[in-house]
Amino acid sequence: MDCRTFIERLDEFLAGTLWPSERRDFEAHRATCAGCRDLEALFAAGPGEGGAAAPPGLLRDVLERTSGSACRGARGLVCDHVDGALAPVDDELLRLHLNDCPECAGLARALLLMKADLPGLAERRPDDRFLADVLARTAPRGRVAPPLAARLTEAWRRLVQRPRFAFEGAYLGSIFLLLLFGIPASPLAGVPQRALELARVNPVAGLRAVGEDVAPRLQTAVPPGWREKGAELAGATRRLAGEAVRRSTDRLDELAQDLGTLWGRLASLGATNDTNGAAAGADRVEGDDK
Amino acid sequence: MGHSEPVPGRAAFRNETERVLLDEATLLERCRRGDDLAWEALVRLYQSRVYAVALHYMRNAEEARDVAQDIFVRIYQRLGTFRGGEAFLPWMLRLARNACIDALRRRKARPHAADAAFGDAVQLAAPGPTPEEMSEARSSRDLLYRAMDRMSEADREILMLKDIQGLMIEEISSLLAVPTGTVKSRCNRARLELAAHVRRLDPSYGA
Repeated sequence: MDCRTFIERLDEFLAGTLWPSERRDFEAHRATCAGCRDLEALFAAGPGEGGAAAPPGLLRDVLERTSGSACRGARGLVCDHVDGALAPVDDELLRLHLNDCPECAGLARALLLMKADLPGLAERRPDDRFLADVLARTAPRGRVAPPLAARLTEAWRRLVQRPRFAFEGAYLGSIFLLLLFGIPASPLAGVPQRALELARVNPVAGLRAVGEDVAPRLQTAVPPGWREKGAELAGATRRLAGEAVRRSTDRLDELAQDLGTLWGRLASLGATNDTNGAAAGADRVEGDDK
Repeated sequence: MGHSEPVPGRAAFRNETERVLLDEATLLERCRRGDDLAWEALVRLYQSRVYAVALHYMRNAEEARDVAQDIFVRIYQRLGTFRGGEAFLPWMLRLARNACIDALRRRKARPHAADAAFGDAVQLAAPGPTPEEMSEARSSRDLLYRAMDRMSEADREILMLKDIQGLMIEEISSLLAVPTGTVKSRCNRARLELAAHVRRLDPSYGA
């Protein structure tokens, strides 16, 4: 047997499937060939046993060329690993990865430390007045329900402070208008269209057109007898008005005359009184001197 | 005062002289009956937790204080609607979250002051027993706060609910109205993101 045959049939030898005569030839060659002996020892060893030390970075290079880095998968498991919630096989696989990956190992240690540190953040002591303030706000006098108006006012204040309130209002308003005018069955469905048509009409021109159209029709529609009666009525009205003006003018003249007479009388009466008073005053002065 | 660290849902306060253990259910039942002392004890028990939640959402100490008060007022007004069979913490956190979201909406509706970072906020709760431990705890907490500042609102919220407040996946799913699978994946993503931020800020964290 030569070395080439030994290498080609080494698997069968190790599996024990060779005939006894072939096996004897194998063993005879192995006894004389150191290279084939080493090869057999290498193949016969279990995984991870024997062989030469792998060069640094070989694993990383192989992973880069095949499945890619295993860190991503490891980080998907590391939280459960820290919580002790990982299946034993996954836990062992992760442990092997952590042994070789300092980045993931550091992350796992940080997670473990955080697990102990984070519950310590659950409480923060407020200042000393806090308890007293809370008790004051929930004291018996505060338990009396405020009046309904105050509660409604407060509820409204809170409602309008919500940033979404304006948007919600606009949304509801739009829906309301749509229901009111947008549905064909609604009695107000035609209102927007009519309003638009009305807005497009020039009202002054419309009135002028109506006047030009109606005036001739009125003239022809009114009977001739009505027109004569109308003329008589207009003449009578003018006469009455003239008479009223004339009479009122005469009356005013009479009134003016009466007033003139009255003023004249009053004036003459005043003059007489002045004269008598002056004469009486002169007599009194002369008597005092006496 | 001398009471042990309270465990929400379990022991509330231990009366040192009579050794009477008040559990949460007893406190809530007494609160519902109008027991002022029980209400005070409940507020005292949960004030730090409620304030921490408010601070997580508001990110401003002053606003967080006001919102925390509002949360307690809401709790007080709605204690009658709380069913005895359910857990109190998720119910309380639901109210707290809604109150914070309302406050954030109001804040958006008006000009507001700049947000403060977590690390700039008020003092830490429950310091460690020794100065060294206290200093170490403070530095790691500050580091976590600074890292959380870099996260999105959604990731920070789910991290706060799951890993900080300790809600179950199902409770968060109910609270946020999203499937449990989504909660779990978001939660893991948020934790990984936080871990990455922390290591960028301090490579020695977990080394």
